[in-house]
Amino acid sequence: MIFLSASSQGKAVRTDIPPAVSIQDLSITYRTTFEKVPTLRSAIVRLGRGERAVRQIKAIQNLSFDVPVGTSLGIIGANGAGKSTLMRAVAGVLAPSSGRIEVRGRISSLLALGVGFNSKLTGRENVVLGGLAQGMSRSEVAERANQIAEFADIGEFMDMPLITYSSGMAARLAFSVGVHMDPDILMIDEALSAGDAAFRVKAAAKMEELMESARAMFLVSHSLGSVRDMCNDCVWLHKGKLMLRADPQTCIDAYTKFLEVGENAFTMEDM
Amino acid sequence: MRLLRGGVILAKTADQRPELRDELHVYDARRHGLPDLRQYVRDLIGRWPFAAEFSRSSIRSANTDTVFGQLWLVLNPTLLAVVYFILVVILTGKKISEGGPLLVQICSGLFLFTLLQGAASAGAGSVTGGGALISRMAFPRLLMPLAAVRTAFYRFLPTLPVFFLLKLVFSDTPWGWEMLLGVYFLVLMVIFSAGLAAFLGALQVYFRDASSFLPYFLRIWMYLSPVLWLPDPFMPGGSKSELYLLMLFNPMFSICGGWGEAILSSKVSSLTFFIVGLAWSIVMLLVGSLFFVARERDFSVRI
Repeated sequence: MIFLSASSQGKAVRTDIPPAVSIQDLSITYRTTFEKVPTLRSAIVRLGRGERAVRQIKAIQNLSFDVPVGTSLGIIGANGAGKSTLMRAVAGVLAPSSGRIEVRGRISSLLALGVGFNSKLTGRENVVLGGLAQGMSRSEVAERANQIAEFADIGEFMDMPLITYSSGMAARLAFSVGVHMDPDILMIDEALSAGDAAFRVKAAAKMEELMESARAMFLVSHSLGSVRDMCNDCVWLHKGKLMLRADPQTCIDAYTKFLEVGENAFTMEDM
Repeated sequence: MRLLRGGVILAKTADQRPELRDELHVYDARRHGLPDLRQYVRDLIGRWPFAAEFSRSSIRSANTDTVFGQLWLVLNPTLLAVVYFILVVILTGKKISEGGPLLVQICSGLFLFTLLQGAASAGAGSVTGGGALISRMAFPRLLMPLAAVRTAFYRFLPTLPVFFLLKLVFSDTPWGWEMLLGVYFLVLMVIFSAGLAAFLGALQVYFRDASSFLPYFLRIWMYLSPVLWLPDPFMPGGSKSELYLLMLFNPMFSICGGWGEAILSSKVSSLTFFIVGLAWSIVMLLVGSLFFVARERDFSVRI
């Protein structure tokens, strides 16, 4: 079992300056259509039958909290709690249904390159595309691409199509992209679970380093062990609602009690 | 020390990144409606390298940057031109041996119209085909259809030398400075295509089968435009001049007509073509891109 060191907990949380991320009464409702793929044909058929077109799913309901500069925030909760939805909203991908999110600084999210954009393109091309889409300049991206390849330790695969990667290589590349985008706010969504033990140690060291310079970090994870070790603050979401905002240990205790599984080997080791 | 928005002074941290970004992003509850357009255009221009790279990589993954890929780009519309040529020859009863100028004429229109077709069909799929890019990253979505237009434009370029070669060999139409006016109509075509691609891209998100109708729509549009035929009979003083005003409602009448007259016949078209073509292009660009931008925050939920 590998534990990540806890140095990020030592970093001072700054409450005297505006928070890095402020979430204010946020609600996100997905409107999904009955049919999997909306078509003109089905729209006409539906019109004929007088059916309602959409079903609403409340992914996040009236969520409010601030994330001060210096926080590394763990986000825990069962499947469907709205963790990934929250991440996507903070990254600016999903628009809130009501409420407001304020983000100060550049976000780098590991949502970004999870599986790459185009598996026919090489790793390098995917990295370049992702960097440019995040608003970096061409020279910045080209320079980073080499650092990324080196950190991910994928060798000549960097210039091979993504489709040829093993899942471990893809995950290492994704993590490497996220941490090399020079983020003010780093968001990591279940990314540490991939990669071998050696890479995890390297990843943990890199994240410590990043926490020195980044303003805040979000870690979404089912591995309570890594949340406890890497975070100095924690929220527990359940079905789109905030259940608890407390220090990681308190949150984890409450969450595991809620699940009635206790801190068993599975939740600890599934890091 | 530096000033944050809101007037708060933030001491620099030990990590002295010069450009420590104080950008404040606010995401509020507005799924429809237009954002601050000036800011949007600034973002759009700032991230253009992404669209360029995206277009380049799609060209690369389609292998069109290889020799045979390039050859096919040229062969494909040329063969299509030959098909239409045979069709027109059969329908009009001309002799094939006298058909050289006709082939050149068809190529001039068809190659340009292929630009519109390519931009429209790639633009229509640009958002729904954007996959992970749309669902995971935040950037001005209009870059997706614009990248499709860029791709279509770069696929159009290699057909130009083919046209000039055919014109040199098969046609006795004059060469002159007036041919440069074709650039004006080409620009109009690109602007119009951008608007159309954006419009179709947004529409496709809501109606996934829209693209099934598209090829038929585009083909009918082509027959109604001066691509296979010349606009002369419909012009004032021509044999069918009573249809002239009606024809002006087809944006391609002015744009393709002006293009053909410039690069094929090397003559200055009527001022109407210049003005009506420009008006249509701007209207299409505004309608298409504003519709797209007003809807784009909804895309990540819908695809």
